[in-house]
Amino acid sequence: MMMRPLAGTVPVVIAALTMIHLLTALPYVALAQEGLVPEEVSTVQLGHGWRFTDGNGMTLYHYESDQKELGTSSCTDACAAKHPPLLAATENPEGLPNWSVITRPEGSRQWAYNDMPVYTFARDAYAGATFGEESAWRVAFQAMITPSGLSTFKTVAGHVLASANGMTLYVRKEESPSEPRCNAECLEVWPPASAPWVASGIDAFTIVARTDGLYQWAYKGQPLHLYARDSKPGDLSGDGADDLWAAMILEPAPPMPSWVRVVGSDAGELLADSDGMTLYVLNEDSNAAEATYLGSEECFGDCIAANWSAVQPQSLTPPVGNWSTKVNEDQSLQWTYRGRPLFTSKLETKPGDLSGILPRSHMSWRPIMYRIPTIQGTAFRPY
Amino acid sequence: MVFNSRHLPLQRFLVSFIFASFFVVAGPIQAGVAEKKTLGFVVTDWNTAMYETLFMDECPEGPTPGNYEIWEASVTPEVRRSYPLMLFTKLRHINNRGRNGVNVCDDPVSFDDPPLKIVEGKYAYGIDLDGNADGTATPKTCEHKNFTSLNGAPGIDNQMYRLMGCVEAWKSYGHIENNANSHRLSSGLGMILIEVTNVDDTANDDSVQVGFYRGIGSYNLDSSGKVLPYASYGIDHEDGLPRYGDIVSGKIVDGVLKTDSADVHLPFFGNYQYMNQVFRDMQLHMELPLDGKPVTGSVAGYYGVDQFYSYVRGMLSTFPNRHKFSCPSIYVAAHQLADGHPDPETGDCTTLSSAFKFDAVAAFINHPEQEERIAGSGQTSP
Repeated sequence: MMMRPLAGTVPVVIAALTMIHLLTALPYVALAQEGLVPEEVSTVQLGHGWRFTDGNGMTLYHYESDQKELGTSSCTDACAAKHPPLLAATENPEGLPNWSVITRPEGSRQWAYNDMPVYTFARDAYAGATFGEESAWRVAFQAMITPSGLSTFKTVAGHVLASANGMTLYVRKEESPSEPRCNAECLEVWPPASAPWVASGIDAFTIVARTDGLYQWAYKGQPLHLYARDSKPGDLSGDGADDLWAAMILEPAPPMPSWVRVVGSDAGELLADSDGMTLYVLNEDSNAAEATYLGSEECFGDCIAANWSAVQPQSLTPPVGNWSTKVNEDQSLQWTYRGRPLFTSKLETKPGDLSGILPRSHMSWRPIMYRIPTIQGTAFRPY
Repeated sequence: MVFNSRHLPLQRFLVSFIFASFFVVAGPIQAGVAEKKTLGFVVTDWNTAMYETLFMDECPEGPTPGNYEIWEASVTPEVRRSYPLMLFTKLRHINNRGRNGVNVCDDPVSFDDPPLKIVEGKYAYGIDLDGNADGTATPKTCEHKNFTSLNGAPGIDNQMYRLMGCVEAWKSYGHIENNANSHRLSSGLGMILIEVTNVDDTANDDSVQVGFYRGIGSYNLDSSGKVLPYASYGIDHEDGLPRYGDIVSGKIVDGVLKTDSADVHLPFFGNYQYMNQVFRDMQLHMELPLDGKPVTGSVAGYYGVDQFYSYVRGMLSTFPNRHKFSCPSIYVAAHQLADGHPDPETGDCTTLSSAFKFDAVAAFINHPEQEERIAGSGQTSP
């Protein structure tokens, strides 16, 4: 009689363990697909995955609206002019399990990744630029493999390794699986990234069996910890703590030119020029229909000259991250951010000013926020 | 009683008990020294102090007309008919009714709009800022007409109320300040934190310090959307210094905090406008109940005409008609009614005496390690 419960429990436990193990092992399947791309597509390996590009190295994108009906494209006409589809020469790819060819509304064939059509962005000025990643557009990307329970998360410092709910993971100097340096009280501030005891290592992820009985994830041989004082996904408050701890940054954020400063403002931290004056991007193709609906007057032409100063470099320079220089029609030089021209406002007098954000110009002029604040219920849309 | 090592567990217990009691009883009190208390508050509602009568007696000529009405009255029916039928398109044209299509708010002096209808009533909220009951000019003020307070005190200076008191959208039932409060509450932007330090007695204390800060993060709301008392807020700081953080002296009289007159910077967000507001010669009055109930208070001081018009311009550029007044009328009247801080060269006054009412709740204010600025020291925000 005593054996009955046990007899009923064992299969359940085994089934559960098998499930957990399968979940942690599933990424192997995705790994096997690495490199299997159409001839028209290339991959760029980043710290947190692979970015897809066309044959010229131009970044490929997905359009969120295409999710409504997978396997179809909803970007046509003017949209397609700004976001040219990556056309396919063949009909049915073989041996490319994640790639397919869809038929566009006008009849041409377009590559799709996981049934999501891929596009380039006409304004991407150079190979590797990702200027098109805004509003409803996302870079076509194969994320790196992480065990279940871990993930990657985009922070101001770049993409970091994170817990499943996005909390940043940290490593400690001189700590290794065989030489744990954070124990007892230290673990209250730096809790280990705990792993299921049945989990198995994946690629660079291994399991540390701690002497206190806990199992802890390690990445490239470095045990991973959370930081108790981080309060929300993306926080990095433990980075650099005691000169011992560092966030596990997989892919650093794009660099910025040396003249760009981060300054505080009433809207949060934003990017400014060397004098601390707020930088604004001009969105030349802002939504005209929306502007008309609001009765607003966008500021172009003479209005720009009256109210804005172009941010000018001394000479044309190679791109730095999302920053590049261009030659205007009048042969003047100007800095651009993500392909859009940069200005400071003539209405502003001191660092952190936000006078450039006027309702009638907020459609086309936006500051560049370093940290995106949560602003619910307002129409303020930082770039 | 002297503690030795044998008493250590008891000692720990008593110390813990004392600290626990301190937080439970004191609520927003933050200081580590029992004799000197610190009281923290977060402002939840901020409005221009408007004395409003049931039948708008303060505005005998009625509410001031808006941009659309002014345009409509100034053109012939033929011209009216020549404008687009679509309302928004029409309004866009009307906004730009200046020469060469200039926007009414961008170049207000180039328009010949009718004068703004202003408050003609006797009573107003506020205080006697200039100490001059008859409103004649002084070295620090321009000639102006004083109000009487609701309890009969003469010499009340509140030219901001005289300016905006007949603008319907600005009244307590209007959308402008209600929108601004709603925007602040939902976003946490423009959050004002008030910290009273060096408090010996919360009922009567002749020397306290009052700090004004910008809070960061969101308001802590209950399920009905009201701001919770005793929540924690961080202050906006940069390079170890608060971006706001003026500190003024004050006193507590019968449970009411009163600050000395000083120039104070306060953050503002509303109607999509950010402002680092400067209040010249500001005084604050605020009740100090320590039971967690909402606190009411008022601020009186001189508000810059340029600062105010910048807010109006930014707000009205999009919807001059919706707000039921015109930029040119406001601009002209604001300069005519300015009563404080004469320009040394022209003699024209540059600020408007004003009064604002606010609500607040008790809060814990978290400081980073920092130095603080002293109000009136001439320093400005970084």
